[in-house]
Amino acid sequence: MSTGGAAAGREEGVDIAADDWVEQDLLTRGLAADRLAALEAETRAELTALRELPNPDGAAVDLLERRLRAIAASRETIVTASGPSR
Amino acid sequence: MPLQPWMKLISVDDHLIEHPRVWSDRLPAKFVESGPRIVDEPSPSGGAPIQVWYYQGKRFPAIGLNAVAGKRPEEYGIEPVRYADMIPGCYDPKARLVDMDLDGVYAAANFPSFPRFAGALFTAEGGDMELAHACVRAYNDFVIDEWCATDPARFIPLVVLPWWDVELCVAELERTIAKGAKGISFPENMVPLGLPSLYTDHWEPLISAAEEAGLPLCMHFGSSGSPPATAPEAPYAVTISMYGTNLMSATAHLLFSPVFHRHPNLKVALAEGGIGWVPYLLERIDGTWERHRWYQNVVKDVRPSELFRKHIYGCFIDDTFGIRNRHDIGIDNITWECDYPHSDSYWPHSRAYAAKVLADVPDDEVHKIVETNARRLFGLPGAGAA
Repeated sequence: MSTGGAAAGREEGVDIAADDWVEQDLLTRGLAADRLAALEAETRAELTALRELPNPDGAAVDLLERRLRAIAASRETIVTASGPSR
Repeated sequence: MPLQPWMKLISVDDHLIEHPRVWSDRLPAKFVESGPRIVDEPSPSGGAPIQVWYYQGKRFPAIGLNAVAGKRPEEYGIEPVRYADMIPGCYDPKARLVDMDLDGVYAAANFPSFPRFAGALFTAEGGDMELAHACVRAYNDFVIDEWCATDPARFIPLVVLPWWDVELCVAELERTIAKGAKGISFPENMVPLGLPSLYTDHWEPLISAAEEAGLPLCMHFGSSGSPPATAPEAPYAVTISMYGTNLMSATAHLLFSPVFHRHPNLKVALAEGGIGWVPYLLERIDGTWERHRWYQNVVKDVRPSELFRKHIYGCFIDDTFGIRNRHDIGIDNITWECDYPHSDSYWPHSRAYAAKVLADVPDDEVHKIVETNARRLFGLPGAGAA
């Protein structure tokens, strides 16, 4: 992110060391992958805890399994993406 | 949990990134070279080539929304900006649906990116207006026939119009309504674009056409091309923080204008501006109206806050203050937004985050906020009574 100051007067070290593409704009593939990884870890932990119950709720287990499949589908599109055809 | 599994989240504010062939696939051959096209250029930093739009021979470095926001032109292009860096849900509607499924979002209205949020680029750049008109039509054909056609139940078509000519606007609106348009991405303020304000009669034919067809005017902050900067030296964070004030201005502009008095069925949706400010502004506007309406050209017998509740919708992502004060805003006036694919969005946690923000809100109110108000706004089935 730029401080927006005039080029000549801009101080070294004032700008944040991250571009605004990452910080304030589109989700990048890297950021999206990080978020997916976090969601997958949360979902797997929930699923494990649920399955360890004496009588797991089948519908809840099914929902979490569906979520894991949705995470995999989203990751697949992100990992294999090479941009639109020209 | 107030956000029930059967409630379908409808985002009134998402964004799409136009793929490189949106215009070249659709423009007449004589315009393909001068119309919007993507060009690979060497990266100033020596990395992979960057990709930029060219239109009428002019270079536009940001292929993603605000990819260079806050930077001066001489700094443009110092970062790699390529489609390959984006998640495919930005430009591929099938990938978008996969991401919406994961996010627990049922439907979404998407604003454009390269043409600016309301398509005002084609107005602001001027030049060959026959080409500009063809570009407006091509965008609308893309968004309806290609993007939204991927799943018409889940993508809500917002169209842009040739703002420089109101007769062309009406014609394009009628053309796109026949193809399924559900909303108009309308500049939050016409004046910075060099066009007449809503206090003139200029826009009457267009607003009448929108009202008659039941299409809302969707005003995204920043769509006037006039960001709320405070000083050249101020960080862009100031502008980002203040962007919602553009919609405060739009609200005051509308509520004192003749628009809602002339068009009792018109709907306006304010996009990405939050809602927490609404009670304060309505109190202020009503107070101003009480004291100062007598000597001004203002309708004297209808309180502005009544007009707001009848005509205007706001939306939020994480405005907890606004949700706490939702009854002072109007339960029927609040909608939800996701803002995918901007990094402001909570994807892929949007539904979980909405549930958290709405945890203390009764189920019936949550249902209105996340789904049925948006259905009513866009005239979608299942809106029910307000």
